[in-house]
Amino acid sequence: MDIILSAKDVTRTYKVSSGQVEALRGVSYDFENGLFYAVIGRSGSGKSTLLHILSGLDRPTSGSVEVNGTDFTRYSDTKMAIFRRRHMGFVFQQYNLLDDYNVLTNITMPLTLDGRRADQDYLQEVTGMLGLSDKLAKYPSELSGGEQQRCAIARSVLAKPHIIFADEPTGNLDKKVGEDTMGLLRDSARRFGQTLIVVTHDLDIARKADQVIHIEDGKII
Amino acid sequence: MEMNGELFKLSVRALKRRWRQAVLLFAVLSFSFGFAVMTIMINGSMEATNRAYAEAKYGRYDILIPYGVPEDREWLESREWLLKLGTTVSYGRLALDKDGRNGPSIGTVDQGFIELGHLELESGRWPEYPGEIAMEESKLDMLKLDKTLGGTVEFTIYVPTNHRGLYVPVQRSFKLVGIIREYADGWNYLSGGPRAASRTPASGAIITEQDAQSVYAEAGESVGQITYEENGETVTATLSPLLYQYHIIRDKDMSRQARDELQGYMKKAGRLGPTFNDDSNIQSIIGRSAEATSYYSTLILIVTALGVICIYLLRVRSEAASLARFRSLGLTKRQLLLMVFYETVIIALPAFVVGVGLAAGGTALALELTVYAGSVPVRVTFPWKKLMIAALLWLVTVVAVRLAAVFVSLRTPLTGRIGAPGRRAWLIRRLNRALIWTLTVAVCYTALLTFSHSRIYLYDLFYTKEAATNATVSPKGDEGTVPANTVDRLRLVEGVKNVWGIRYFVTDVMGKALEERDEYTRQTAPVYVIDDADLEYLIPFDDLELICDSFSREEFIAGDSVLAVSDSNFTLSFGNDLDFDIINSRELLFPVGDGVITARVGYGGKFGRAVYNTQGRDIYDLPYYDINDGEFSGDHLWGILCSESFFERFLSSMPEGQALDGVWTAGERHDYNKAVMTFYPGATYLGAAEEINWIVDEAGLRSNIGNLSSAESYRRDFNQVEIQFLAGGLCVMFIIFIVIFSAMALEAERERRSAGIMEAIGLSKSRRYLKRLRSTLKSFLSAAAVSMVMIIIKEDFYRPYLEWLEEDFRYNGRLRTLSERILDELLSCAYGNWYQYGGTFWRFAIPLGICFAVILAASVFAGGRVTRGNLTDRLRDEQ
Ligand SMILES: Nc1ncnc2c1ncn2[C@@H]1O[C@H](COP(=O)(O)OP(=O)(O)O)[C@@H](O)[C@H]1O
Ligand SMILES: [Mg+2]
Repeated sequence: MDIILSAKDVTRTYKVSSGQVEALRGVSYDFENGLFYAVIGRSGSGKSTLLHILSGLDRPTSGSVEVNGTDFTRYSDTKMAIFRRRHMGFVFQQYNLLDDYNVLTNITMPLTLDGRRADQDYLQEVTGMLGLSDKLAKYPSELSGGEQQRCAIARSVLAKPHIIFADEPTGNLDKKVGEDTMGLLRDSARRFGQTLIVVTHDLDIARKADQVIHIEDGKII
Repeated sequence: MEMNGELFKLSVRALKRRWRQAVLLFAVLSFSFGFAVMTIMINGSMEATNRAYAEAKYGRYDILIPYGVPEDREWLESREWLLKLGTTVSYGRLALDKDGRNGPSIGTVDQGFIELGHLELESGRWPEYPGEIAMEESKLDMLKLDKTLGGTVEFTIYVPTNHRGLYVPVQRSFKLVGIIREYADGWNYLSGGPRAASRTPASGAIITEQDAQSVYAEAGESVGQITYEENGETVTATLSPLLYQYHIIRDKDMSRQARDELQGYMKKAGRLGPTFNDDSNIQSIIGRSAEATSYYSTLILIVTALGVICIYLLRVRSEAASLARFRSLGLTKRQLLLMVFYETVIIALPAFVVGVGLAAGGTALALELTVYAGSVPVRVTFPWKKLMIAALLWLVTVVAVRLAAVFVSLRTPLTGRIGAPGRRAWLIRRLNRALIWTLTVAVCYTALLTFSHSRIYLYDLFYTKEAATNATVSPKGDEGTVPANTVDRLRLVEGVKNVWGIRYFVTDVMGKALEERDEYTRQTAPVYVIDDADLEYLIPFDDLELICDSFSREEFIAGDSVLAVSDSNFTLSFGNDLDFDIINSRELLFPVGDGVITARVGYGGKFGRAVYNTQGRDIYDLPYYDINDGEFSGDHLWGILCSESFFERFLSSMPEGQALDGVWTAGERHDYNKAVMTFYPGATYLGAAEEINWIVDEAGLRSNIGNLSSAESYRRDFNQVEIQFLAGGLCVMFIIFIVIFSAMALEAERERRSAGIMEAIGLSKSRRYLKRLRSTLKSFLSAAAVSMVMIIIKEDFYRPYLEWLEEDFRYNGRLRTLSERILDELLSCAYGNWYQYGGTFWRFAIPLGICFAVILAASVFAGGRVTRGNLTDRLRDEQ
């Protein structure tokens, strides 16, 4: 068994005006390389928090997260940023595209920031697969929600990260478009051998996952 | 590094995408920086120009000791700061006027004085051997002496005694070896700046020291035989000590030491202190301007900072969000800073360059248009050090504000919908409102300050064209004429408004009351008699027609009406009542019908317009604009301009030297022709002056055009004060207006979505505008009130009012009621002199009105942007 990502006793507490919220209360889990994981649970159960910590967007209050045996949670901001753009891809529910740049610049951004160039063949393949080939010169504000999300997916895939995280990627899309988009995400991950961790409400999607992680009240059950 | 290049490209692309904003920012940055630099540059340039002016006019950093003694020389020569010393000694007079005071003098000069006093020869050489003399041509004319070089001149030298008006005559003859050029300036230079009571003339005849000593010795022998009565006793006269004048050039870096030492020395010797021409006149003006320009430079920098903050702040939310998204994709902190740096530099660097260009061009243009510096070219300096400091301050502000966005983005969690959370957004909006409000206060304050502070100068600015100055062209001797064709040529000079030939008489007029007070001795009123032919040139005199609305040429000729204008200046100090004494008594002399009117205007710093009644109608004076602000002293003009036939009667009705109802008249008659011309001391002045001098030289005449001190000081004051306050103030206002406009526009851009939602649920556009208007009005009124309070508590604002109150109390024994005061205020507005003391209401209302109009326009403009585009687009909009 090839463990790529493992969370060890991860907790996360938020300070709020009324005291503390324990979003995660000791989560431990090992993720195998190349599998498709679905994270499900009720709203407010801690799914997003978990995903943010696993992807290095946020840090745990205690516990550790290891990629290929190295704990990255104690990295400096800079090291973390570099680590993120090399190893992690992220698809947000709200897309979070950069409004000032066109689609092409947006999807190649993680590579650009890393001082790398996109492999042209690969770029064509990804954009072709996601149906973005004729939209590369457009700006995010000119795209529909589904197109924006496919753009976000392309962005997360293109840098060939080991792991792709997606937080309710289809939450803002209608059922049909959502299913298509999810299909594309799954296909591309499988195709390039990437581990895919998706938070979703959609049980149809979860059913297609290799593993389903159920979270409730900050714990995996 | 290749990576940096990529980041740079990304920055460029982002800016391109947001080009509207970028251009706006660029405009604000370059304008504001440009103006800040411009105020600094004007300051430096005026300082340099003034220095050059001082050098040209006064030799160079000079000091004059007008009443010196021989011992001074040794002391002066041992001074560390002394660079050059010139001495002139007066031994006596060539002729005496009635009370033996002001006749031209004869004496010696040393080489230093020739140089420093700018003495030049028309022909021949300076006397070298005993028995030789060099003289001014006019002095030769006056004494009716032969003007050929090498010829013999013989005359009496009057050596002064210790008793006023008593002289020892010494007969002498000399060989004429040189004709001294008559100087308008260097020859008869000012000894004490504008406030000095007397001019100290250099001698009009120069002889060798041996001769001078022998004259003095001879006078010394015979003075013992001269006696005079004093308090009933007979006293033997003695010679008065010789009058030494020292002209000093000092080291400019040691001005303080020179001043202290000299003042100490003079005080110890119990003599009058020396005057410091450069320091006292010109430096004080520089001082004033420096103060104001640094004030405005600072204000501009602050306003720029506020503007930059304002504009970036509006973007902080979206910018921080976008930076945070970058971070989520793995942008390191270093890269983040680099990117922000690039984005800043891409705008700021060209703005810097354009700003400097704007400033250089603007300064050159402003100075070119407004500065007159006599014969000295106006200098435009480039103050590198100050510029660098300003640039640094400015850059620091810009970078600091940008960094704020970086720090906000670093605090933004990289989760969910990345962007500033609600509370922070609210705070930013509040802050933005507060900034716009502060800017409104700043603009109201600046407007009030600028318009109220420079109210006098503002008036001058618009009336420069009418601030005509006069010059005269006259024959070199006391007799002779200005040929008609010269007059015609002078008329063609650009900028010369009119020229008329006149015969010129001088009448002394003295008020008895003045004499009792011993406040001043004598006024000389020139009487100008105009040929009928020249009336042609008088009648089109715009001002005259304009102001004397009931005046007509026919009546002037037929009825012998006399209007008075003048080209003579006096520095006097007296109150209204005295002046009216003179006028009233003159009216006794020349009853209504003869229509003698004196122009009595522009004293006391007030713009007065005296109205005199003659032949049953009102005739107003010519306007004269006083350059003094608010002091009861100043240039006072008067004189009489009349027709020939009138003048005959004038003379016959004026008993010489007799008291007539409180007025002394005496007729010292200079019966020569001269051409009087009027022209503007405006931009055409320099060229006009040159051309006039050229014509005058060619015709062998002389003019006083180089000596138009009133015009010069007028221009000097104008330059300094106008530029600093008006330009500075307007610059600041302009920048603030740009900033307010852009800030409101950007704010509106952000409001589009929420406004769209409101509209979608039924808020009409007109209601939206109304809402906007109400909030604009509210914030403007509060800002205006704050700025007004800030102005009112400034001392120079309320001081005149305190003085008014004090005067009221002193003269009336009570304070005027509020209603009286308001009435007075309104009346003074009506008279057009609100810019001086009165018109408080308008002084507030006009600047604030302008500000309100602009801010309202900005608000309406922004309102238009909020509702621009179709509703669905706006609902989709998110920044
Ligand atoms: N930034 C935050 N500050 C305070 N509390 C938070 C924050 N983010 C999430 N939480 C809280 O943590 C809990 C888990 O949130 P989240 O992981 O977003 O849930 P899910 O994604 O499963 O809906 C919730 O109770 C939520 O209110
Ligand atoms: Mg969630």
